[in-house]
Amino acid sequence: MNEPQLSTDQFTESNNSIPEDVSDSSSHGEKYLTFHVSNELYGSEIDRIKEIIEYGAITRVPLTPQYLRGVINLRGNVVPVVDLAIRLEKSINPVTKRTCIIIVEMKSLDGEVMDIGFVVDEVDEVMDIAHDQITAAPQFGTDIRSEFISGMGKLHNKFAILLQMEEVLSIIELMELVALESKDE
Amino acid sequence: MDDDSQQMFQQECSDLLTDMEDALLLLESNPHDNDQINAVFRSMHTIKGTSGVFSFDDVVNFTHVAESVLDNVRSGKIEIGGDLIALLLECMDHTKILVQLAISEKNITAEDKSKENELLTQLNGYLDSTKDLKEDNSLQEQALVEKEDIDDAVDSKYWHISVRFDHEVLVHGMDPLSFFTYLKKMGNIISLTTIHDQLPLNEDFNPENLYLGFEIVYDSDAEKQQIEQTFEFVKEMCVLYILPPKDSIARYAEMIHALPEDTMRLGEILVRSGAISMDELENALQLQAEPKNSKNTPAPLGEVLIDKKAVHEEVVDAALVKQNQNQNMSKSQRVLRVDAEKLDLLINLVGELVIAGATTNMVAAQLGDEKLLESMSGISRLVEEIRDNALNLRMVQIGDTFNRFKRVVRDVSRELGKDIKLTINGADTELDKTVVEKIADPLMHLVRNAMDHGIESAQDRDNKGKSVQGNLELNAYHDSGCIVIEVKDDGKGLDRDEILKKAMEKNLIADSQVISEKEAFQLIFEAGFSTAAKITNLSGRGVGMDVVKKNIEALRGTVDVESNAGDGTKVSIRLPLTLAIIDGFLVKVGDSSYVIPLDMVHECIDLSDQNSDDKEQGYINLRGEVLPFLKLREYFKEEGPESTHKSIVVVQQGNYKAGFVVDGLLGELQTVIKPMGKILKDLRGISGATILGSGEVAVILDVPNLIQRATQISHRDTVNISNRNSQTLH
Amino acid sequence: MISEIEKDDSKINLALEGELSIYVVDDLNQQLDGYLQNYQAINIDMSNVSELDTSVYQVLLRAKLLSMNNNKELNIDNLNEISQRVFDLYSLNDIFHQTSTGSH
Repeated sequence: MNEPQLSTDQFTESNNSIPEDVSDSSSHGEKYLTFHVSNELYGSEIDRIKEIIEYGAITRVPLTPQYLRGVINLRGNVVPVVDLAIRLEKSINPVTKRTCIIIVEMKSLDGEVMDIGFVVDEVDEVMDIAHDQITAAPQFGTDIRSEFISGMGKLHNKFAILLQMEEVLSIIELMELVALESKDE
Repeated sequence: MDDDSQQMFQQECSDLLTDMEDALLLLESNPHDNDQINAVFRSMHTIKGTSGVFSFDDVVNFTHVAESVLDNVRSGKIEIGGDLIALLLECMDHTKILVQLAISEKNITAEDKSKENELLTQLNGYLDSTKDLKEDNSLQEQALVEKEDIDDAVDSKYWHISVRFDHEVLVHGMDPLSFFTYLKKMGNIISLTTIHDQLPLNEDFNPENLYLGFEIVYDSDAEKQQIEQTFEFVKEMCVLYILPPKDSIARYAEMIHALPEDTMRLGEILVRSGAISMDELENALQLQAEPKNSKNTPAPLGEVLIDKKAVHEEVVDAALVKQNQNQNMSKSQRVLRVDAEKLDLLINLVGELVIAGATTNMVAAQLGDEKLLESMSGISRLVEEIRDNALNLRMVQIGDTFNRFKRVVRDVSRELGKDIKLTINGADTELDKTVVEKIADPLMHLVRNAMDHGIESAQDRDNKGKSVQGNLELNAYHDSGCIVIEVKDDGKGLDRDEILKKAMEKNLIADSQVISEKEAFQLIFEAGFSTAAKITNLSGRGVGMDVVKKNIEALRGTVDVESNAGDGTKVSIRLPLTLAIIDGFLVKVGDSSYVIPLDMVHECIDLSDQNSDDKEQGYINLRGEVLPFLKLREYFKEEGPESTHKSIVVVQQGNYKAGFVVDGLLGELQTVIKPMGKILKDLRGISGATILGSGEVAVILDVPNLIQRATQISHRDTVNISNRNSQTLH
Repeated sequence: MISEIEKDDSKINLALEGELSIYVVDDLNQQLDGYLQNYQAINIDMSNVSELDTSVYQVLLRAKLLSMNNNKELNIDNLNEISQRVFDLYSLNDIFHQTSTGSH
């Protein structure tokens, strides 16, 4: 399971409406997946996204930080799921039938590869965002930690906050936070 | 040298060196044990031989000298004593280094080289001393020679005929009786041995077939051709050897090689063939054969026997090769070397099978089909058996690890100038291979600790009225699904007050904190606690007690310390028997399901309305026993529906019991422990996750950790309560 | 051939007579197997054997080994000259003389 399985088929599997690939063919850039969290639009580079699945039974793991929703069974593997809204310190929206879990593949410092999922309210679409469409993150205006943002992507009529997934889902930081919580007397 | 050969060679040398070390240690207490002396010689000899095959000249040259010394010990020319054993142990260590260098094709360091020269000088010293004994030897040899001459004379008189007929020979109208009768006309059958090893006693037996073989010692003046003619009619249907008297030595070798491989002992073969007498054979069998293709190393067996003028080198080599073949065959039938990765793969598959079985069981239950359910229970039973057997493959005896400590204890006690005796109990206790590998280092540290800081010097012990010899015990046994390993010493024990004082100095605890004895002893595992600065060359690696505890916890184990100041200390390590698949007990707490390892579940009791306060902890009276309990709902901050009929699951680990209050009991199940990944590795109270038959993930509780929590809080509460002079325990 | 001389519930005395060769060895083997199953102790009298070949000797050897494995008695008695010659040649008399109590 090492290749990104992103294709329209994948979307069908998870019973979501199929977004179409509205790639801008004129200039070259990267492919991004955009999604809604807490009423805002975000984007993430596609290359580390493995799959998108329905929001389903997440088993809560007690005594873990708030942003860790729990774990799910992904084809026999136990995968932790992060609540992106909480991680970004935004408000949580209730679960609807459009809520999904996006599974990404993260690498830890020692080269070990692991899957992590994060919850989004709704998946938007896959699109090409050309380099010249991306501006640097604003100094202020967003209350998200600056290292989480890799830039602002300009789409037709809106902006998407492009996330630096290595930081958002930084394995090291997550580990430390979990350990911290565990030590709590 | 390719990887496979390299590994094999290394493994073989490692095994041989271990054998040699074991034998040398035994010799220390009993220097005249011939079996051990021979064992040491054999090991060194085989290492030399095998190294010769790979042309590792450095190893060969060094081991050759050691082997010569050992040879002289064997023949009684050199006395074995403490000094020589110590020297041999050093040689063994050096051989280890040489083997390693040979495999990695590195050059020897100057330091090691000078060590080698030193060892060689000492070894040669022993060899020189044997020269004085030459005179006595020559007398002995003369007596032997005389005896040999007589034997030679006897041997050379007779023919030796060996015949193995094909099975169908009788059906074709030929009966051995007629051939033997004919032989008798031409000479005398001195002896005929009927070999019935191939005779089937079961239903494979066909009475019209011949399953017998014959070895005949025959006295006759006839020519070979005449004897051959006897078997003229049957020569197409048999394997026949006719060995004339004299000049037949090489042919004996050939014949022995060609004999069918039954389990006939080598001795019988050679003695029957009249090649060697029983005495000579006994001597010869004490040595081991070696590959003939090493140019540097002539068979010492050959040397010995040629000296005694008994038999030519080739014959005995051939005979011993055959013996080894037979032995190796039976040995290899008993043990297989298996690739660890293949085994892991198998175990993973078994794990998946367990889950798939659970899922199918669930579906069968939902369908309610009687026949299907019955069939499923049959399958479940089988899956359980496969699971147990597969996991069993990974089990090894802890004795191998324990045995390594014999040498350590010996060396370290010498180094420290203390007299310490090591006793090992439960060496045949089995545990998972990976656990064994990972527990070795922590154990080593604990043993060194006990010897360094626990056991007092002989003088001190004497002053205290203790036995001068200190006792160190390594015990292993199974207890409720765990394996317990104890490192016990009768040294000076731990002083609780001292420890508390030290801990306060290092700010590990606060002044006012109430600490039980158990907790106090646990403090020695805190990072920064240890003051032992001396790290000797054998303990190496700067391992501290905190790392010991971490390593044990990484194996989902716990470590406990019991001690009486003045009497001694006992460190108990508890480890789960299997790492992969467990029997679990499913409970409901709020909305969530949790799995409790079944072998720690003692019993379940109903919690009829107790006071439902919000405190997450309390006590109940369990048949006169005070049982601390933990309300999982509160502890885990669950919010789902609360049951009015709660239960307490009483769990036990070693001597400690506690209860977990849960909302519902959901029954037993087999589960496969799934890794939760790095992020969730160090969770308190959680030891892993598993996938239920429904596909959901369930969290596995870390029972020892939770028991500790239950008892900790309760202890503090008790003290607080009693301090405040408050009400009765509830 | 085999004749039954006398028997009770656990013991039986047999006599082997006549020409014992490969032509009768199959039957002989089967019968001996049967006796071994049904009786605790078997005596075989060989005084009237006129011919004894290797196949029959082999069957007798096998019967003796089987009896030893199963804690039963099998004794071969009264070997006449013809039978004795064969037994002596094959030199396994030690085996045939063993009783199941282990003594000789």
